[in-house]
Amino acid sequence: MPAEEHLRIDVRHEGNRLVLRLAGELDLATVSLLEGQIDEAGAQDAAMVVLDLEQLDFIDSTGLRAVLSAHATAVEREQEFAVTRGSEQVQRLLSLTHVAEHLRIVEPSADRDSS
Amino acid sequence: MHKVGVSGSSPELGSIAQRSLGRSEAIGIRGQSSGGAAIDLLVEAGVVLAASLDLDTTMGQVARLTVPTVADLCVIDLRDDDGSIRDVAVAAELDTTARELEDLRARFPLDPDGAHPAARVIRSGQPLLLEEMTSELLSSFAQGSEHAKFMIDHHYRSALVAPLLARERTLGALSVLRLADSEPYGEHDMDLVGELARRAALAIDNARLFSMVMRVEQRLESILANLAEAITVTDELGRTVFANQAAADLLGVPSPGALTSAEAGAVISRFLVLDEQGNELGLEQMPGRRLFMGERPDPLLVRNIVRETGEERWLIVRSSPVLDPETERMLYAANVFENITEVKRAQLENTRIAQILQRALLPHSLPEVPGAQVAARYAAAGELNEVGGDFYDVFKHGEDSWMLVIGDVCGKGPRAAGVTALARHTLRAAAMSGQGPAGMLTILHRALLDQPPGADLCTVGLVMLTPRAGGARLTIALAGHPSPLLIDSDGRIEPVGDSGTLLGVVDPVSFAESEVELHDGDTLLLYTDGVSEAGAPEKPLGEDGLSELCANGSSTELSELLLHVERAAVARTDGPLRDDIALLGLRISAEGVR
Repeated sequence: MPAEEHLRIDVRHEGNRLVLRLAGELDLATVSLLEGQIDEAGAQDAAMVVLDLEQLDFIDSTGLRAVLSAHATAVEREQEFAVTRGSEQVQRLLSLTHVAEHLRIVEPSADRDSS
Repeated sequence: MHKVGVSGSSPELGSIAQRSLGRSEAIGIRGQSSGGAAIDLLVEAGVVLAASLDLDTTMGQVARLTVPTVADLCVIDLRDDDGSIRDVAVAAELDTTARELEDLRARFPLDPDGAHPAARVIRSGQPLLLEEMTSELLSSFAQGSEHAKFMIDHHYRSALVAPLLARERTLGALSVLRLADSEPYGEHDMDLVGELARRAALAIDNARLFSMVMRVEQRLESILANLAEAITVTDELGRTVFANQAAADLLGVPSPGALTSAEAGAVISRFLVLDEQGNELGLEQMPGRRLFMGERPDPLLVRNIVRETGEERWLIVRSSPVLDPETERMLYAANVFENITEVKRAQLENTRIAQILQRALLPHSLPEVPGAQVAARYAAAGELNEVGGDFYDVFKHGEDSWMLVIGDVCGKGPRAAGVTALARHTLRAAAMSGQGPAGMLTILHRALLDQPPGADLCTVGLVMLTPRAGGARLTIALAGHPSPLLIDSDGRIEPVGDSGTLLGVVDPVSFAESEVELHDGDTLLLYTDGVSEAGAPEKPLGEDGLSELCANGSSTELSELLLHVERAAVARTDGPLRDDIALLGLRISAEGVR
């Protein structure tokens, strides 16, 4: 099955923030979609990149690696980087691995249910 | 045109000849008084026409048959595809006359739109009887004065021209002529000549169809013959009716002919044919045979070994049915053999390398731990030639302790294998330098950070076991790894150990060592997330699900418990495993405690 059926990424610019809203599964089959979005020209100009993980049903270690790579890329570009707390499964993995301590956690955008 | 029978059976043949002869008693067929002559002519014509499919030869023979019984001179003209008329056969009593006329017709071809009787008959499709031809008439349709002079000099007298009709097309005309003193033709001659013309026309039509089919077949054959893939066509009895050179090469015979002349089954008996698992396959299991049994077989991968030389090939055999277009009955099986030996060898080699690598990354056997049992299970996700990223290890630590290791390197394949090797050996080296679990994790983290960038992340769970009277003391440290489950002898289950940072990416890291006392009959289960996330994302097993699986764990043999958990995790996954599964179990056993 194509990766797009397992992971949807909604891209929006909120002022100088780039918000990537992930829905579905972030694993070996889909990480390339996230990597593609981080490499997009639009992503380079934002002052801050936010990954909204509230609708992400599943993340595995490969998905976690992609999130950390996105973090590293943002740091290189001198961008701020943050994630939302995420779904239960995301929270479990972030806390189990202590990665949550190393990431800035922000509240999801107020309009996140509007779509 | 007289309607004549379409069948060539003799009673009808006889009646046509009889009618012709009955009416031609006055003139007769010269030199013959018997009705048998006309029958003989048609029978002979039938033999000639059936004998050869070469058009010019056949027409020449038909023309010659008419001389002298029916005609002094006979000409067969054909209309070519472009509408022009050419003579294909001229027969006369004197060969010189025939050659002379051929030469004239070559130099002065008949005008298809002209007044020549052959041209008129070809246009109209109707027979033409010219009982008596005057010099004026001859001159009127001659193709020039030389032609006119020829006809007048040879005393053209009477002519009968019949169209060559087949499948409602006029292919040409058959002209019989009588010269000088010969009897002129009459109405009664028209049936016989008409029948002869009809038969000649059928023969011409057949010859044309045949040459067309031959051309198509030759084209097809030359395409098939030159294909790089080996192709054979086999019939219901298993005989090879067609093979190309590639097939001959593949099957080790000098030419396709050696295959088509071989008896059914003679060629295959030279080979040992095995399936992928090494089971011998019979002729009836080949896709071509199965087609004839009414099945729709999938392409078959076979390992083909030449009995004589031991040479081995891997082939994919695909067969499709060749049906009779009218009856839809299966006539042949067309078999295509794709030689994938090189691909298969490379794949087998990759699998072999992967297996060697995998074995190198896991302990080949677990050491004896005094006062305890240890057991492990491992299942790699993906293809056979992929090395998994999960690992485990058990080794002695210092004088009186043992170290249990479980880990998960992100990703699969060679890169993950490299990180796994680094992790396993770094942990062993750190242990030898006297580090406890937390120190070992820190050393591994540093080693991973020293790797080229690329976020090689890794989770590890370490359990240091120190046997003591009636049980053991455990020191647990976790780096991003799920907590081991403690199943006590009463069946109570709880996760043990404090979570710590995963290794290799984020920095700084922190780990906590926690201590747990195990007693006789207590069990500790270490696992990777391939177990707890089995069935994800739809229905992950989860820690609760895993605990349920271990509910009767304390009363189950340790190796049985691990197998039970592994099977449940595999069963929970739809299709192939998404992630590797590793399980490492420890049980305190009183009889072992000293």
